[in-house]
Amino acid sequence: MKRRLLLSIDDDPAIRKLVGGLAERAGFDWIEAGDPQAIDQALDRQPDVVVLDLTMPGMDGNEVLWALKQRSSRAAIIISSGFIDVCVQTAVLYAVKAGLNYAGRLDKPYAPGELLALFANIGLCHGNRENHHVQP
Amino acid sequence: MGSVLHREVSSFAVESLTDSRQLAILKAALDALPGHVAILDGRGDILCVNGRWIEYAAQNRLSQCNFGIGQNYLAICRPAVAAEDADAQCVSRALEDILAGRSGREFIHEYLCPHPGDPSRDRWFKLWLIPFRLDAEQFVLVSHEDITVRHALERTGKLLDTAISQSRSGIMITNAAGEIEYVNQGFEQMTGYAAGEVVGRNPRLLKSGRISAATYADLWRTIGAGETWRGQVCNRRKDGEEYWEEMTISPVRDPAGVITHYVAVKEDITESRYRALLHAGIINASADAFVALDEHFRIVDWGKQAERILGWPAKKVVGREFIATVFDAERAREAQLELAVCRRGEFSRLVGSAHRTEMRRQDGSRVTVELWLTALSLQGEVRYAGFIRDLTESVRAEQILLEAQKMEGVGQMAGGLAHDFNNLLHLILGSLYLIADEVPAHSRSHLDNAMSAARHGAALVSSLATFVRRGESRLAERDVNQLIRALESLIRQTVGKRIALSVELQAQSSTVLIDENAFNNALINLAVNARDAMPRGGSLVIATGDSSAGGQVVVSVRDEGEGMPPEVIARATEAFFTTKPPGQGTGLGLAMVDGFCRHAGGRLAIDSAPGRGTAIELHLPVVRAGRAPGATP
Repeated sequence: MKRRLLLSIDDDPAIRKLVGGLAERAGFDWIEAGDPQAIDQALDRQPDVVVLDLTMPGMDGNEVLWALKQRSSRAAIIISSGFIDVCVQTAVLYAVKAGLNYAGRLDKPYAPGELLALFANIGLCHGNRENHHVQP
Repeated sequence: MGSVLHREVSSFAVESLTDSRQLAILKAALDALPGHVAILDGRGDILCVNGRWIEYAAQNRLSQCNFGIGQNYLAICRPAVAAEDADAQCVSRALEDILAGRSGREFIHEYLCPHPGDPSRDRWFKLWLIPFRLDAEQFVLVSHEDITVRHALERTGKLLDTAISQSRSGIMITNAAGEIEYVNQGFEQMTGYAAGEVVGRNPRLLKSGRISAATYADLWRTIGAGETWRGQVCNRRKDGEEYWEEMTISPVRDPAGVITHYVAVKEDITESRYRALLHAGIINASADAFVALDEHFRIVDWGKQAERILGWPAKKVVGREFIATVFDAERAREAQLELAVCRRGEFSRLVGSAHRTEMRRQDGSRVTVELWLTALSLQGEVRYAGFIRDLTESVRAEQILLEAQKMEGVGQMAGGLAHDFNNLLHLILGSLYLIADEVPAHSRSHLDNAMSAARHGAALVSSLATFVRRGESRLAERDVNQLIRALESLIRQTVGKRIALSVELQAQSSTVLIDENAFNNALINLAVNARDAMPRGGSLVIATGDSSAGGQVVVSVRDEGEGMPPEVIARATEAFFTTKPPGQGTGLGLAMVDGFCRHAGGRLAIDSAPGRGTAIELHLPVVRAGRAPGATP
């Protein structure tokens, strides 16, 4: 079976890699994007899951949602943010109203297990490897 | 005429009188004539003159100039004729015509005899040249009659006649019975009636019915008692339109003291009465206090609102010096200096510009006001008039806004810190998790310590969050067009009269998910910034439109101010960054607006350049698109 593809979007490469590392554990292939052009190209690869950090300087997480909507993407969308990103609420509402496949939200710092649990919830998880690790 | 005189003299030459007696009588009669008389022979030589002639010549020291008998009258006139004196030329020509037999008619000419050096002693004369014959011999009687007094009366009469008939004031003369005998052009214009339509009628045809019987009774009582009545009455024109006139009616008496006529002078005051009512209405209706000052800055007029704002009743301040009354000593000194500048004709903040200042109430308390005075030139005298606006409410609102901005700024800063910390802690925790498998068992406790410390950090950030999130905003679906419409009047008040606010709500999809209070604050913030960018006034446009890409509504606030250079734009949304002078801005306004936009899932854009004004655009995602392709099913 073809491995699912996860797109990690964050302006901080370290966070992108962290999400990617967790995705690997969950049995995903993963790609990353940190700027509008890269995001555009990455979306062309039709990821199955998008983990989106809404707060990025010079970029607007909502624009990513808009781009997903325009591509009629069925990707599961996980919105993550620092705690002060009150715009998450708006983004979530927007995503739901726009008919996107909103899968859940995670406020940083979230436990890796929370992300893995979300993957499991949306039926995208192939392994149960998260159980092999100590939850922080 | 000559023959008439001759006949008259002949007629009393009764038989009983001797020739010498007759001559004596004729000579005495000649002396008694009102003019200076000379009789010329056929050549123009003076044969004889009367007493008045000699008297006049003596008075005017002309006796030395050979005005005596035997001189030729034409020769006497010659120097004046040569000097091109028009009167002398005219008389000389007439006399020559008579002497040459070309004219047998009498000649009359009025002329001015200027007094050398004193125009008030100029005299007017009427000259007669009366030819007559005796035994086929030609004679001419020359008479100069002093008509100065009559001439002056005639001139005055003509002037009065012209003045009365052409006066713009309406003049009406009635006889004692109240019938109109005369009306002038001014009356015709004022009432619409031609003189022919009203002469012989009673002035009551002008009555509008608006004036009480008591007023008319007072009028008749006054003029009946021989006094002058003055008052304002409302009359009706011929076309039915009502007008107000100020009327003065004076009785005219004959020498015996009996009233024969009444003279009424009328001024149409409809316009000025309307204007006075309008001014009074404006002053009374205004929320601002009206004041009028004389040239020495003493209070002349003190409106009701001035009593309310400053506590001084009009009757206590009228006549007092304005500056000393409303300012404390320090401000009064400044104001006096500014007034001196203004009196020199230079630009002064005190007069001719609205400015914010503090005034002292009657009870000594202070009030922040906007004072706007203008100088009026009234019949060469300078007066001042203007308004005092109570700024207490808006000062309070500004202070509240300022406090809110500071608090939001602190919150935003804390929020920013928390965000960065969370990212770091997230990275630490996540990375520790990923390497946990590879850590040997004996090092496991160190890893657990590190994770525990990171989680402890997260808890600290979380408690900071509790503080910052206090009074957390409530997101709700709102129509920005409606919100702006509802805010319009508040914004208009906030920015003041110098700013022309226009609101152009063109967005079709305008429903957004926002915190209404935050939106209102953001909009007022931007409006205040726009106002501050245009200290001399200008236009402020608040507009909404659909974004070109769809999915967003763009709320823009555009001013005509100085604009911002790129380096300022780059830092504009930074907290505590401000270009305003110390004490006038927190540097949090735009940061707050930016925070609001991000909160609402939108973004803030700045379009500005030096000299081009500034437009701040809030791009907010719409939740219920009207036409946009991203419409929610």
